[in-house]
Amino acid sequence: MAIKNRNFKKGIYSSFLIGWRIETNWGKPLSVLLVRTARPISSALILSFMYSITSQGTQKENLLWVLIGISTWGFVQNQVEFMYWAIVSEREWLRNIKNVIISPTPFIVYLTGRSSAGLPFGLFSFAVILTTSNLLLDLGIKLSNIYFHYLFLAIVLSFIILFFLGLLTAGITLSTPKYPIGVGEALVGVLYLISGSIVRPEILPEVLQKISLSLPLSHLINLYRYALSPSFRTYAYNWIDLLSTGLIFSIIGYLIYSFSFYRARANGKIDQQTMY
Amino acid sequence: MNNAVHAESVTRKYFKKGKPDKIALDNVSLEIPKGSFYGLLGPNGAGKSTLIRIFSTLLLPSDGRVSVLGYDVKTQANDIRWKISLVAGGEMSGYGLLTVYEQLWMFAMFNGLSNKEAKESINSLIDVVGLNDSKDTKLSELSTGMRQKMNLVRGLMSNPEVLFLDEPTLGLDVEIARDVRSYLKIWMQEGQGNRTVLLTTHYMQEAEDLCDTISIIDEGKILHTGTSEYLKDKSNFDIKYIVKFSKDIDPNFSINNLRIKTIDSKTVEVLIGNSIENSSIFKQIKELENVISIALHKPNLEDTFLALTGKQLIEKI
Amino acid sequence: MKKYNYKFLLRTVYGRAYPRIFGTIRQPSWIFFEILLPVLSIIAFIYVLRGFNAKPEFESFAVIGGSMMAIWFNVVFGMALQLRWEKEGGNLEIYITSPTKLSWILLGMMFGGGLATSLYSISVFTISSYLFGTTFLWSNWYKAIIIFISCVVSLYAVGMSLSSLFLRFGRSFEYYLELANEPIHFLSGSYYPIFSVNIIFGLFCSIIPITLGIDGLRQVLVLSEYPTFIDWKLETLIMILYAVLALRFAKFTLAWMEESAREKGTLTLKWQ
Repeated sequence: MAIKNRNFKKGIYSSFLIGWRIETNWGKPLSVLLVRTARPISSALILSFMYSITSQGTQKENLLWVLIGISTWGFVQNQVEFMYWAIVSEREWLRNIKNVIISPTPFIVYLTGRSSAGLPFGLFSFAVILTTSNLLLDLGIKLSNIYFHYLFLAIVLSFIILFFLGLLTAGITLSTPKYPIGVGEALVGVLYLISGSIVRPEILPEVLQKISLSLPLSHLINLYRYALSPSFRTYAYNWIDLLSTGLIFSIIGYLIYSFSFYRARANGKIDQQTMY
Repeated sequence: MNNAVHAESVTRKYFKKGKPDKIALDNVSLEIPKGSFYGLLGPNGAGKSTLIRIFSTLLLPSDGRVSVLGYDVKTQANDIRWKISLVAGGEMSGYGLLTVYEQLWMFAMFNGLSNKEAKESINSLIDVVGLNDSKDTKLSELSTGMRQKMNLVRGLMSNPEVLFLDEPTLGLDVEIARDVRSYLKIWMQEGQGNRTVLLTTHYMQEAEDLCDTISIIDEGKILHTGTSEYLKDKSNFDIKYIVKFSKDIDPNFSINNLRIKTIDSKTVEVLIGNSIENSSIFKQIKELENVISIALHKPNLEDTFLALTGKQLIEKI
Repeated sequence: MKKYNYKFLLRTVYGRAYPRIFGTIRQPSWIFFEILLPVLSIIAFIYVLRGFNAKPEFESFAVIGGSMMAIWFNVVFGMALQLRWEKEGGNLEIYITSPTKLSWILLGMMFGGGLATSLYSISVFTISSYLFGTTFLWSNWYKAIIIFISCVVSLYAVGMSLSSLFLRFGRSFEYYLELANEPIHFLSGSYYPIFSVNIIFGLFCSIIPITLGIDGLRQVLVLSEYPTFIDWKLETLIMILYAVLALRFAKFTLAWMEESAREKGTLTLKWQ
C-alpha cells in the first residue's frame, strides 16, 4: 500500500511536469500562454464581429451569453487536448507509450497528471477573454456582482468533469489512428455545438436540445454564467441537473476508457504507428 | 580515383548558445577503397553515426574535407545521393498504412527508378531476404526483424555504389542478424568490386565476420586501422590456453617457464604470447594430472579493443 | 547518372501523393473527422447567426467560409508541419539522402493532400447547404470552380514554403504557426463578410489567400447587399500570383534551409 501511494503521488507529479515541460520547452512562458489562448480569443473575435455586423449592437445580453461560453471553452480545449495528445505524441513521435504503460504507475494516473498541465492554460485563457471582452465591448461584468464561491466551484467541477471527458477521448484514441484533427478535437467540436457554449439549446432541433440538457457541460457553462452576471440569475441555480449528469457522464467516461484500453491491449494497438 | 570515400582532417563540433558544447569528431582522416567492406568499430558515443551522417550528406563537417566517389559532400551532395544508400539499425521509417511492396515502391520512385525497374528490383530483393510472404502486409503489422529486412531492401534496390550501414543489426535476433550479414556478403560478391560498404557497429563478431578493414574509433578519434588479424597482433594480446582441473590446484602451481594466471581454484590461464607455435606447450599441459579440459583462446576484437583503448567495447552494467 | 527530368518529377510526385490518397482511403473513419466535423462547425455558427437574428444570406456566407476553412486547416497541419512529422518518423533522412528533390516530394504531398481536401471541402459544402437549404447562384458554377482551384493551389503553395521554415527553426516554429493559425479563422472572414467591417481591415486581411478565396466565392455564389472591394477576377489573379511566388520561394528556401540544417545538425535531431 505504501508503494502504491508513493507511485500515485510521484506519478501525478511527474506526469504533470512532463506535460508542462513538453508544452513549454519550446519558448518563453508568455509565448506559450498566448498560443494556447489564441484559439478561444479568435473565436471570441469572430463572434463579436458577427454580432456587430448582424445585430448592430442591439443584443448585448446575447453577446454576453456567447462570450462567457467561449471563455470557458479554453478549459475544455486545453484539458481534453492535453490528455488526447499525451497518447498521440507518446505513441507516434516519442515512442514512449510502452514504457509508460508497463511502469508501476497506473496509466490513468499518468493521464491525470498530463491533463492537469492544461489547467493553467485554461485559467489564463478564461481570464484574458473575459477581461478584454468586458473592457472592449462593455459587457457589464462587475467584480461586485460576481459570485466568487460559485465561480470557484465551477472551476473545480470543470476539472473533474473534463477529466472524465478527456478519459473518454483518450480511450478512443488508443484504438484509432492519428488524424490531423484527432478524436479529442472531434469530440470537442461536437460539444461546441450542443453544450450550450455558443448556441442556445432552444434554437437547436428537439433531439439536440434533449442531448444538450443531458450533458453536464451545458449545466456547467450555465453555472459560470450564473456566477459571473446577474442577467442570468432569473432563477436559482439547479445543482441537481449538474451533479446528476456529471456523475452519469463520469461513469460512462471511465467505462469507455477502460473498455477501449482493454480492447487496444487485446488487439495490439497500444503502440501502433499509423502516421501517413 | 580508387577511393570510394576520402576523409581528411574531419572535425564536427556542436554548439550550445553559441559556445562549443561537444566535439563529436576530432581530426578524423580515413580512406575507404572501392570494392571494400569497411568497418567502423567503437562504443556508443564514439562518433560512428556522426561520421556516417557526414558521408551520407545529412550533416556537414565543421572542418576538413570529405569526398564520396570523388564528389565533395558540401558542394556536390546531389551528385553523391544518386550513388549511395543509407540503412540504419532500429529504423522505423515508412508509413504504417502502406504495405511492404507499396512502401518500397514509393522509395524506388524517389530514387528515379521506373515502375518496371522498381517492380523487378523489389521482387527479386524481397525474395532473397525472405519477405515474399509479407509483401502485402502493412508496415504497422511487421515485426522488428521484418522491418529491418525491408529497410535493407530499400537500401539496396537502387543498386548503390556505396552502401552506408549504421548498426544494421541493432535490436535483431541472432537468426535474422545472421541472415542480414550473409545477404550482405552475397551482395558484395555479386558487385564484383563495384560495390563498397561502410559498416558501423559495436558487435565485434559482425566486424570480424564481414569487414576487410576495420577502423577503431573512440571519443571522436580514429585510433587504429587495419584488418582484424593486424589489429589483434597490434594489441599484443596473449593467446592462451584455459585449463580446467577436476581438483583444486596448488597455490604454487607452475609449468616450467610459462606464465600462469589463476582464474579460480580449478581453472588457470596459460599465456603463450602472440605465437601460435604451441604444440610443445599443449603436450606439457596434457601430461599434467587432473586436467579435464584445455581450450585455446585467441584474442577477439573485443579483447583487441580493450587492449588498444583500455575500455570495454560494450559497457557492462 | 539519371537526370532531373520531367519523368523523375512525375514519379516523385506520384510516389509521395500515393500514401496521402490511399492512406486516407484505407481508414474509412476519415469521413467522420474530415467532413462531419467541419459540418458541425458550420452548423454551430449558423445557429449563432440565427440567435443574432441575422439575414439569410449570412447562412450562405457561413457555409462557404466553413467549407473553405477545412482546406486551410489541412494546409497548415498536412503540409506546413509535414516535414516535422517526417523527421520524427525517420523519413526525412531517407528523403534527403535520396537523389530526388525535397521540393518535388512536397509537391507530391501537395497534390495528394489537395485532391483529398478538395473532396472534403466540396462534401462539407454539399452537406451543409442541403441541411440548411441555403441558396446559391449556380449559374456561376464555372467561376466558382476557377476561384476554388486557384485558392487551393495558392494555399498549398504557401504551405510548401512554410514547411521549409520548419527545417530551420524546429519545434518552436510549430507553435508560432499554431499561434498564427488561430487568427486566420478570424482574419479570413470565414463567417462574416470581411469588407463589411472596414475596407482597410478587409484589404489587410486580403494578404491571406483564403480571405480572397472565400470572398471571391461569396461574390459569385451569393446574392447579397454587403459590400466587397476587390472584384473576384482580380482576387483570382492575385491567388495565382501567390501560388507562383510561393512555389518559387519554397524552392529557394528549401535549399537554403536544408543547408542550414545540415550545418547545425538539426536534420536528424528528434524532438526539437
